[in-house]
Amino acid sequence: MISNILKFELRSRFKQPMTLLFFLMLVFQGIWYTQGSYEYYVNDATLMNGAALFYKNFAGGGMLLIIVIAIITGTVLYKDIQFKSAGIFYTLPINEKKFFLGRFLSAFLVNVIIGAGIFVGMALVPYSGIGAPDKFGPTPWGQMVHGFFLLTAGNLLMLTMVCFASLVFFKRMAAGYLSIFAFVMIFLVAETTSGTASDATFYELVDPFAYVYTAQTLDALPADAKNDSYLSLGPVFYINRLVWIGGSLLVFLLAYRRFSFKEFISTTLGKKKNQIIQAEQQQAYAMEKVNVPGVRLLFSTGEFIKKFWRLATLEFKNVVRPVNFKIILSILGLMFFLQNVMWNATYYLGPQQPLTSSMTLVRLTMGFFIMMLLMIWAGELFFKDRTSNIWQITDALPVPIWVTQLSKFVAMCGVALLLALLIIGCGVLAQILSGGWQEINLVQYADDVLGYKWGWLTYILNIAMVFFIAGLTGNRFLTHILSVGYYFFNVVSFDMGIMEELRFGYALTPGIEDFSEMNGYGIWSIASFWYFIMWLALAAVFVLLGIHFWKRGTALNLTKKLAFRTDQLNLPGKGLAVICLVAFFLLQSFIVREVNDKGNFELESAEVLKDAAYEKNYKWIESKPQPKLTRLDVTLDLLPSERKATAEAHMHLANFNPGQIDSLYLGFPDFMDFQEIRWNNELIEVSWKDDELHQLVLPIAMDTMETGTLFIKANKQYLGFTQGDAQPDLAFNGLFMDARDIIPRIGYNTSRELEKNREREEHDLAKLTARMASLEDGVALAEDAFAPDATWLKGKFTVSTTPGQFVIAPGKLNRSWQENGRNLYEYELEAPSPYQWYFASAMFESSSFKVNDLPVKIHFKKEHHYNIALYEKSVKATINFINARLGTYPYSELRLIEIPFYQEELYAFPNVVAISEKEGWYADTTGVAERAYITFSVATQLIRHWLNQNLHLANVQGADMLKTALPEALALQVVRSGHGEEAVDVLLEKKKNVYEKERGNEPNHEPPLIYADGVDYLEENKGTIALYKLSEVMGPVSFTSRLSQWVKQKNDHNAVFKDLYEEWSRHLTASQSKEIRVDFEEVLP
Amino acid sequence: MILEIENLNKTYSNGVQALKDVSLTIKTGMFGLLGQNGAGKSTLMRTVATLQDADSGTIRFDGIDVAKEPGKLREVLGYLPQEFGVYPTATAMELLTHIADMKGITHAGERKDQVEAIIKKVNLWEARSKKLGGYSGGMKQRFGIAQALLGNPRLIIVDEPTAGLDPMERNRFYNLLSEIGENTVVILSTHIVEDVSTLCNQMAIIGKGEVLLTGKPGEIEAGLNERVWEKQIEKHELQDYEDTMNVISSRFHLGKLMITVVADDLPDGNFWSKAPSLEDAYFNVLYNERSNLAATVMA
Repeated sequence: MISNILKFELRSRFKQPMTLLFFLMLVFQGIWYTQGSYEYYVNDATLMNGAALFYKNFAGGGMLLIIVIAIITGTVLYKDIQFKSAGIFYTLPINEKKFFLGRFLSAFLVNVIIGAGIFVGMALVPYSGIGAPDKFGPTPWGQMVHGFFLLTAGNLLMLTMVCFASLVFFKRMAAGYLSIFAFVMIFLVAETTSGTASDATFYELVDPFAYVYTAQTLDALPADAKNDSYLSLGPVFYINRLVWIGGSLLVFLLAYRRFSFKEFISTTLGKKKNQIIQAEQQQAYAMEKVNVPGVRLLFSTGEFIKKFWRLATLEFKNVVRPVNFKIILSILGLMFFLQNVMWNATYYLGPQQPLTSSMTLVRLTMGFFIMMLLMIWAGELFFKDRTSNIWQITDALPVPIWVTQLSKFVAMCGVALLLALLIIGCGVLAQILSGGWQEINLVQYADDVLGYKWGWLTYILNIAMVFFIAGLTGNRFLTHILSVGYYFFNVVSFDMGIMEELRFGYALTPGIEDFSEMNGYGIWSIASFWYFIMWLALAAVFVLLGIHFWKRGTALNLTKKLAFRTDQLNLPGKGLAVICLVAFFLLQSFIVREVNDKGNFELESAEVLKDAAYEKNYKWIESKPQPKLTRLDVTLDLLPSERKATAEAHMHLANFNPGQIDSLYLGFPDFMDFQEIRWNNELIEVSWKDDELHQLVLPIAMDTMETGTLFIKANKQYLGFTQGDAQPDLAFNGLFMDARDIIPRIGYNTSRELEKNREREEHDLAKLTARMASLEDGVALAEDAFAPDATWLKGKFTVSTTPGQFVIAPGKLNRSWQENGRNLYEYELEAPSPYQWYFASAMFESSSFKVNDLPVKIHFKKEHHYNIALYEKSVKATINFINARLGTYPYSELRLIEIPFYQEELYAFPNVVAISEKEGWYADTTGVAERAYITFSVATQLIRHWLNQNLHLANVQGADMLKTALPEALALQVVRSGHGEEAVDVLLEKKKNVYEKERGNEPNHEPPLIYADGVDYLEENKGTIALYKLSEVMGPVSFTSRLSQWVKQKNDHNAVFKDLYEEWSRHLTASQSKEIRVDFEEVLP
Repeated sequence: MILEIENLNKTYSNGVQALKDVSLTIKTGMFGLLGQNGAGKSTLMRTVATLQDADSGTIRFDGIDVAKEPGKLREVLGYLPQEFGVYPTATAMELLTHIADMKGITHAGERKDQVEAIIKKVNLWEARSKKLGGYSGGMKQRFGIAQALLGNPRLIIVDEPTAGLDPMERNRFYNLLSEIGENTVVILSTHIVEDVSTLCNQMAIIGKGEVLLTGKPGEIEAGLNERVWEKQIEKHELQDYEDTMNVISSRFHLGKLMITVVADDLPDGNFWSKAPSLEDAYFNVLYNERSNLAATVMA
């Protein structure tokens, strides 16, 4: 019997054209996702049809596959109830258990066959035209079959079992859908969260699709191994499968035991039927003569408006009254609450204070699920009359379409509002229960959750889209497919970088994920407003056209539907639709002007192209002798509210080259406008200027050893608004500006060169063997690693800012005063230092203390007072460590400041340590790991101060070992003293995990540590671990004393890490050397 | 009040011609539209009820052009579709009140009074607060009738209204319609001859989208006076009779097969004369239609 059921089900399923369409869509997805995965793996050795790419796609499955499964699976079992054929089938002389199994196997096989579309798509990748022939290798058939059956088929089996079990237990089609979407939601949360986790094991286990495990395992593989390796299956994988597939099997077996025709059909028979029948019997003979009273009928616009509101209220009640809605709402509330109290990890190791901004994050992490739920609910409501088959009655009623349909739209807006209020309620509750009631910020709740930054207004935009699609198609099923499908496409396209311009992504607004405690939404608050207005105009068109297309009675064909002359929407309505459409296009062009034309956004490909053009056009400048910057005095006026700065810079230059310099080449930053340029007080004209690539030439000649002063007066102002970059150097509050953001750079800028060999190859540039100059490069050895165009230099800075804000600049604060209603500050460097200087301006609260005789000030956002004592303790411990073990701390005053999170996490520049807001200021430091992290980050930067002022770094390979890894390794000693060995182990474990995860995505070739060439994952992870291990092998005291002596020996000569390494090595035993050599001189496969 | 249907045509996208040049004039009172399943009755009803567009032709009711002013017609329409559903979680009272509101009964008191009266009239008073999802087929049908009566409609279209009703409820429904039919145009679409013979003073028979016959039921019956004959035969003889005579129907009576034949003269001595019924007239029309079709195919 099972085989008969199988044959029938397969035959009937594959006779439907829709099944073929599903299959073709998945073929397309197989190609599309592969391209996305290829973009993720940046190394040029990874092929476009590499096994790793395919494994990841097989594990993820993709949203399209999930939708298809959700549509197909439940129907296979439930269709007899749905189409009322149960009366026939369930009375046949068949074994109901075999029937159940037959239907289950049919559903599973159908899913597998349709899912094989992804496999076919991947096999077609080399012929799809998405890449040049050299991007493809031999098709990894074995790995593909392995991946498909191990991952895709396994996941399909799991989902089919869970869906069938849900149908049996709940006897509702919706239960089948929801079970699948619940798994998807858990997967999405695990997948998105694992990216920031130090140890992904937990996420590997909770991910039902084993995607996180697959991605983590494959990401860690070397680039070329990604092409042909089989996925290695470790214990975590088996446990994951045991939990998820085993758990699903258990639930399925329980459902199998429970399933019977009588039980399954009971839902349609209705439990209350007996009561009704009794009532009917009682009344059947109660005949009486009744006169129907007459009524007055009124059909006026005013009455229709009243009806509209009454109907909207009624529809709203109809949605929210059923028990299943309340159950879903309760589950959602529980999820929101649990996430708020349990999952609010930041960049560092652990939890944070219950700030409102972290509470409203739930709208983003759960946003996918919330939006999908709302869209499905909306689709169901819009077709409620059709679904319940009352449409022939309601459509013949004398009310205009706008009353009946628009009321449903408004009712859905009400449902969305209920959900948004639930998010707020759960957030407030979590804050109160976490002891953070004083953190409740209702204005921010309203802005985030009720506004258009993926809040209630965004929900409304998407509901409007569903309304439009419902009207256009007149088909419930198609409405679900198209609206949810478009939503997936929209989100995934931007997530994978296939689409970049937000103006093409309906309902998307910029900056929603980038809320800063210091700067709020910054420039995005303006940008998102205009994007929202644009989408609102389109949403209005959608709603009006939804009314226009919605047809009473039997469906019209599309041609008739698209006709202008229909009676659904009156002429003013049509006029309004046209006006809104025009407004939408005008707003599109306005955004193009403000965002694109004003230079605030470029496609990634355009940026890469520009960098390639820069190298091609100006590489020759590198060989031209140029002067060095020897002193820099700046007067800077900051106007944060206007996102503007004006600078007057005196750049003291000296020609240390043996020959004459005939021209001065300057690179200048975006948005910079030169007002005046003088050389030794004489006005000079620019010889030529390339505004596109930001390069200019000044007719300045300098003899060898000649000095001179270049005076530059310039403005920098961001005009328009952005959709991507936060433009943090001119933020409203908490601006943090690199001196180079406003001061021109001398000579050729090597940092603009493309570093990924794949990109270099695509733009006909020679591949790099290393990202930094070799140890034999004499020119680079003479350059400073921080600033090749400068010597160590002094400077004086007079900076003014807006009232209420405080300025931080490098050096010692000489004085501060007010003038013309502005705050002014004068800073001056105490001693020459590397040219790596920053300026900051923000509204700060401050706290002062002293370490020995060193005055220290901590500047932080007023509300972020939680860990000030810990910062103070960390500063004291580190200063004492430096003074005792390395040498005198170099500055006479110190400032610790909080900055927005837009740029690097931590900065050290003369007299200042800048720490990102997300790196501890509002961390919950009840755990030792969090406290240790704060100590570690402070100690690292203070030790960097000592190193930067005592050691000249050569601009060659290994420089970042001295700049980054060495201070971190020394900071771990401070951590150990303050928090114990276990705290160090936690930090090292995190670094190990990050290194192992990130090295697989190395774009070129991973070098040994002694030749480390400045790549994020290497020095600060493997480098720190290796140096800490070396210090343990040598003994911490010996390690630091050798270091201290070596630094002294170097005096003013540029230092190379390899020398230091060899110095240390000389004091190791042979076995120690052998052990250490592996870490520093070799690269693990 | 008069409903005029002129030259109505409708062909579906699959090629089925549901209405072929249908023209009818329906005056105040009960009008029966009799036809087999698939004859085009529901298409015609839906078209009159503004739920479907005709390809050509016009429908006018009391000066309202239905195609051009569907909203106007809906203001005076009561429509009971052949198949319909309800909101399962709403009660009869709630849904009827809502429909009454939609029908333009804006005064809350009047709305309540009329809804209650109609609920009593269709015998759902005891179940008025029960959720509609729990209603039996008959109760649901009565609910449908109730909603069609709301708002004192001047044109009532009931499509297969007695399906699912037990004999007692069917009687109640007949009484109800006959009361209403005194002042309104009521179109009763059905395949049950008894519905028409009991209630209607005008009727039409429709088959394959065409109007085959119109008139008063009595006149239609009279058209067969002294031409209807009946005989009891053996089951195996049926084919011979069908080959040689106009056998318009056959039925079993007390275990024996009875055939009805239309002929100008007594077919043979074993036949006896039968007083023609509307059912005979209906079967005769259908027989003639079949014969014509067969003749066309043969030709």
